[in-house]
Amino acid sequence: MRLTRALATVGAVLALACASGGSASRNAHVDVKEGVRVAQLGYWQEALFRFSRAHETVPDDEATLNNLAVAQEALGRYDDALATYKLALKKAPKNAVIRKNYARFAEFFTSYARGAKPKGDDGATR
Amino acid sequence: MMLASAAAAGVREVELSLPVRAKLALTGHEKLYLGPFLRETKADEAQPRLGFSVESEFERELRRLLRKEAKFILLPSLEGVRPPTTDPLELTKATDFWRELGTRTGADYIVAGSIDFKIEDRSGYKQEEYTSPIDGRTYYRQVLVEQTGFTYDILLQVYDARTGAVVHEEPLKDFQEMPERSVDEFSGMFANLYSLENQVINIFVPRTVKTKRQLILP
Repeated sequence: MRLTRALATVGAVLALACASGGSASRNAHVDVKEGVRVAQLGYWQEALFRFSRAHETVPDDEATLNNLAVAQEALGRYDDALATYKLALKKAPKNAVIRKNYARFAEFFTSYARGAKPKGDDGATR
Repeated sequence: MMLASAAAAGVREVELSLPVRAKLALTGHEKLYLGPFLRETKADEAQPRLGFSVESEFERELRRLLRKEAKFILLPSLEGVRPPTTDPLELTKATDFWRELGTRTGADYIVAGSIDFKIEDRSGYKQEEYTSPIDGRTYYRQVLVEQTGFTYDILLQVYDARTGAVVHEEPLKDFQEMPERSVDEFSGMFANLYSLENQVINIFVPRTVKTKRQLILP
């Protein structure tokens, strides 16, 4: 009798945990979808918030990582974007979309984003 | 897990406007003196006869651009200031000249450099396929294709007016092809200048570049 009760309790706890996990996953799904929608409208701050929240729930998801990197890039957070792209590529080295985005980002990052400072000076502006 | 079928789910392309830092770390309120610019001359090449001064036109265009896009204090040009040498490679070595010019004008930085403007005549005969309407056979005929090109090559230099040392050098090059030979040199040169506008101004002030990325849909 006691054993049956204990087993029932464990079962209930497991079911709850699964349900909450599924709900979190569904929320992340909604966040990514909504993030893509607002990004297309140019609301990058909100897109970043959505993708970051989804990333907290599903940290290994390559698509979320890709979208998060793009949002970071759009907001000029190039160092963060670089780290996120690298993580996304580590998770999915063969993903063509991530590879393409990263190649374009790397080209931009190396050739444009690093502004030169006056040579022969201590770098401080007057 | 959640987006396991991301590749199948599709992607959305988005356009980003990425901020690009200026090549020179300036506050934007410095005093700039523009010029003098040196027109490059090569001993083995005859210079085209132009009805205008390439270096003066560039200086005027640069002044217009900086006035429009930045808040620098642009100092008036001094009469009779000539480059210290006719050799573009020697310009950066003339530190005394740039320092003295800085003292005379009260500038923080001097924007100078060398310019090479060339008119390239690429006209010539080209073989073209031709089908006769009479016998329906294919022939080849020579057709004269008239093309003019303008090459504009600048080595823009920014000098520290206190020390006379060069703080930044930027080579900029543009080629504009014109389909007709009737296009005059002045229009050709300005086509080059407009094309280089963004790169020139990005030395001094931040700009944005438009680029595309792809977002993955769940």
